[in-house]
Amino acid sequence: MIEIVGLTKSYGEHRAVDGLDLRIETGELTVLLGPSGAGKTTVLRCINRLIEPTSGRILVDGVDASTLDPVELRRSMGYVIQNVGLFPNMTIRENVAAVPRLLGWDKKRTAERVEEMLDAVGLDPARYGPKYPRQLSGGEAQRVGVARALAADPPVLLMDEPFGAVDPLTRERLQKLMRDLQRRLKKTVVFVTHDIDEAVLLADRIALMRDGRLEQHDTPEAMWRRPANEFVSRFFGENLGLRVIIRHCLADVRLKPLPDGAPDLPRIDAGVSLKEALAELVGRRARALVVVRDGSPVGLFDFDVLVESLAEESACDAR
Amino acid sequence: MRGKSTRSEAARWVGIGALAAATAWMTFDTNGFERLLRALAPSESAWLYPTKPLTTLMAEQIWLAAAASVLAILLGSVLGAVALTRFGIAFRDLVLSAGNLAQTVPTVALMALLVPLTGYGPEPVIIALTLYGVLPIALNVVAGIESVPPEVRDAATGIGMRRLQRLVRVELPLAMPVIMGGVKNVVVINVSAATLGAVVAAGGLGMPILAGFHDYNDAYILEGALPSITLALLLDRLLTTRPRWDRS
Repeated sequence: MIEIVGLTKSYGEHRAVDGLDLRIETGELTVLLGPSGAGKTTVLRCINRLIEPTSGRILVDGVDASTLDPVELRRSMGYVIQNVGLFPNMTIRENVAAVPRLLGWDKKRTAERVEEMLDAVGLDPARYGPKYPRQLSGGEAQRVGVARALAADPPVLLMDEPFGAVDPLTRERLQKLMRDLQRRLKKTVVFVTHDIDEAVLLADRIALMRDGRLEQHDTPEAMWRRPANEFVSRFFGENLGLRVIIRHCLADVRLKPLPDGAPDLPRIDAGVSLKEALAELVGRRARALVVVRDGSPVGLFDFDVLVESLAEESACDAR
Repeated sequence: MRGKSTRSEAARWVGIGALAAATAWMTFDTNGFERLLRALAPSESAWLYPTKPLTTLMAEQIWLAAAASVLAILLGSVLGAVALTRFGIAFRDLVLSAGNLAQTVPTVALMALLVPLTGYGPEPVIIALTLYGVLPIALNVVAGIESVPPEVRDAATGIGMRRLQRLVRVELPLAMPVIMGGVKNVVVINVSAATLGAVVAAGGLGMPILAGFHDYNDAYILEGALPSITLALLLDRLLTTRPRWDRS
């Protein structure tokens, strides 16, 4: 758990972070969201002490970070930044091995771990391992960035707009990769972004910031249903509900029973999100869809099902 | 892309081989080189500088250039490193402008001014060329380290490298092409500027050139100049290299 208590960082008169209190639970992905200049990056960089706070404390598993050796602290936290920051003079393999090497792992263990991590981020180790960063696309480089951050299996992962500099299609792929990795690895992740869709897709909880202060800290669903103030509802805009349904799986909603006989309706797999199901409904201009699980139809999805599923807060918001 | 870079790499080594062969041939095949000089300056009556054989002159030339280059690289690196420290930023401009000023003094004048202090011989040459080389080296050390992209530096610190680890594993390798650019300039300039050493009796390939100038003998001038040129070109080619990670 990372506990931020009364964190303030001033640059002259300007307060980039202004008395922030925030609890980041172990194993959760917390998104620091907000407009530019909200102080998100400053908070992130205070956690691994790339920036020293003006006042306030950061407790990592109950220990005051300012009492730890900053270098040791950073080695226990994976770090991914927008411009990737791969070392151009090292091969992909050497880049991923950077932190294990700093920690003094033996060669065999490091090599195995590097293979494993490249696999995990969807890069063939034999093909990509010997390349240099210059030879990669932006998306590939960012995958390597994630692999490098995870290589020493740190409990904490700090990510500063990691997918901000790639094209939309690549970004979407990287976001899904991140979501799937996080479901498996359950790291304590602090993720900075100003992209609402990205935040909604990845966050267990969103910490929405403005001018160095916390406006609301909650699940995306709760922020949609109960925005804490005018700024929160204005920041997310009208269609937060439409965004939030990407978090919910068609498999989890109560479907209508199938009518007798084989209805002549488009089919959809139960594994997709409600957002994709809705898009299908609209795209096919269909009144309803037949939901299929493992090849056999299990129920009917239509607009009523969608609305009802959103009415039930508890069923829907559990993740 | 890979094919292209291998091809230019191959061309570079062919050039290096040719220049090395030419330099070695002129230095060691005395009779052959004399025939060439005879062909180039048929009206002369003597073609080889009689006082010293070319092997000795070449050895002196290399010694002058190498000593000055090594000293300039050492001192320039130290100066550049100091200029990069927090303490160095304050006096960086002062050092750089002093260095710039030193470069405006003509080399020959500087050598001549040093003679009363050091006497005739290689010392004034080595000192003068070192003084000329320090600044370009220091400048390139500073420029090279400062050319490291900020996000790379940030990532190095952020993943937990200590300052020295960051310098050795990331900053120096990335700065090396720029630093080597400075080294190349200094070495190449020193190889040709060492010919001026003849003026202060330091020996080297400048001696036949000076003698040829004095006796109106073009063959002597060519005897000193041609090996000096091929040696400079050889070093230029040798030191022109891109690191593996920088090739596409």
